Amino acid sequence: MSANTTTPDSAPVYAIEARGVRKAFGKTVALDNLELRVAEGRIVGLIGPNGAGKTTALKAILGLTPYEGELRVLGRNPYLERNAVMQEVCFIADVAVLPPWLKVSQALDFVGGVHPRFDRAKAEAFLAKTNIPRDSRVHKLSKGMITQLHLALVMAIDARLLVLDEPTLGLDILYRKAFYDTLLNDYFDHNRTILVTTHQVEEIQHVLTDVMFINKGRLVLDCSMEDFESRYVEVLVRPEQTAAARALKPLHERQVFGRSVFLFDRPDRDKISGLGEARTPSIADLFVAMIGGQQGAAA
Amino acid sequence: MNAATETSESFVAPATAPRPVRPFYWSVMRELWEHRSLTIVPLVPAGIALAAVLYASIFNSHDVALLGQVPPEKLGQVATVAYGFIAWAISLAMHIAVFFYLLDALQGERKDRSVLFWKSMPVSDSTTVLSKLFTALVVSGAIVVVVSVAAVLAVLLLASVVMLIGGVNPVPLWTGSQLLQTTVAITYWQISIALWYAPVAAWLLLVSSWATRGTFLWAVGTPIALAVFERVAIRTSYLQSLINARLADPVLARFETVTRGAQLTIRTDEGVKAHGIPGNVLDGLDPVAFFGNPWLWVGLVVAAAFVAAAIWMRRYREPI
Repeated sequence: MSANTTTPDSAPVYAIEARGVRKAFGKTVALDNLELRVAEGRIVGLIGPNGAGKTTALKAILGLTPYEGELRVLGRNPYLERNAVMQEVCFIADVAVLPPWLKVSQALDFVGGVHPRFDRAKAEAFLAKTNIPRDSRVHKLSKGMITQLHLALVMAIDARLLVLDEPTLGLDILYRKAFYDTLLNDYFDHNRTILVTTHQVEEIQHVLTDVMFINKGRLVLDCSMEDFESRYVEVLVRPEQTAAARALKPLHERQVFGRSVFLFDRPDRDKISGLGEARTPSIADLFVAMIGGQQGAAA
Repeated sequence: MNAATETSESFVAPATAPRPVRPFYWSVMRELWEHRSLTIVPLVPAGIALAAVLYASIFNSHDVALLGQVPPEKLGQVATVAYGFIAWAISLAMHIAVFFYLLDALQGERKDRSVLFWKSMPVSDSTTVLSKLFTALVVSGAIVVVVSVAAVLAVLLLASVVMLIGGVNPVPLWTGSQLLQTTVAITYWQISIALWYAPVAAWLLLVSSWATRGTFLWAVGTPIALAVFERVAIRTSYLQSLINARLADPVLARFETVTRGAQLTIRTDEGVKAHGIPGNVLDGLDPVAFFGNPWLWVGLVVAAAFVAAAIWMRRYREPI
């Protein structure tokens, strides 16, 4: 299709590379010159408030929607070369979208019949660990079971990029935890790339290798988790030192039980050590600090 | 269609070599799983025919006695007529099922959002849309033929048993009938119906690909509205005559030449009459005229345009 297809010699360093990607619906700008790079072998959390452009960005990456600007997924144009891209990319889109009439056995037959990288034995092995009856239809399964089924199908596909859009929405905490544990233990192998969006940020903090914030169609944070820990510091400041803390230009200040919590970006560690108890903030805290103020919305 | 030919070499060696895939075959299977009406509805007339024969042989033994009065050389014609009528009924039931199938084919998956699952698989939009058209035109016709053959065999077997019990020789029922010729004729009609009504099917598929609701109204109302507009604003009625010519076509009429006899008097005082049947069922077919009709080809071009539009819509439209 395009002249610029990937060959083994010029394999892409980035699983996803977006340069100046723009998408507008009428006057609403969903993606505003989005710049984004996801290296291969990373687990990236894409966090943003509602309407920030998350879903539009994922749709563009998955070739589901046209866009302006330059976007490469595994070295290809996802919109023009969608069929080729989908051989190596898999996704679970927001809530369960498996058709209600589909039988579990039919799902295995279909995916096995159309996907060249599907390993049926793997999917069967995963399903054997669940209580999902092989001959039941999707509409007879509980929401948790539907997610398990979808996960079983997706994890048995040897994809290079897996995109998860709110994969655990509406699941209880046990299923959510099991979902991410399975993903991490049985699927991720440092060759694959996973891009995940969720509102339950705290639950995936330990899973991620990178975190990105998106707001108003732009990337406002792109940080590896190692950098995150060395870069951001949250300090519980003693009341008498709040003025001194403010002088160090904190990113954000909030009140917890009558005491002030300051969040610093790359602070002078010596100076803040005297202010009070310091710790690494959670992603959610940083999100509120960076976006909550302007938006009034929490992660 | 979009088999693994385009897979680029991955520098991450896959755990297993990519397996051969059959996206078109499995897409058709998906249609049959999802729309069970396509396999159930044609069984209804077949079941009714069987039940009717069963009922008649149990409660109307008079009918069986009547069969005994039919000259043996006419018995086969009764079988042929019955076959044509059963096939006609099955075909009609299938047309109704296919009509609603097509209206749902591309709208249903957007309504239940499962389109997001289907699109997460390496199956192209053209494969998906063409598999739906193939199911509506080719698979449905094949089902009609298979169910018709099975139904007529069951009916004739049952009738033979009843006749044996009633002391009537059933052999002429089989030897004098044109079972093979009628099967060929039914197959030919299914093919010609598929080709002739392809633009109608493609139109329904197109409506299904973009309408968010009210597919029936859009499908039927749009041509009517356009025809009325043409009549009022331009004072011509080309569209209306085009649609009329397409829908009231000889294809269906010709299909009835075999079946017409079935409406004959199975019960009169003189016994069974079986007239109006051509000497050879196949004489009623005229493939030269059918394939020589330029309107057939015009219709196929229109169908191709509708299908191309539907493929484009499948790509572009989002879940409802």
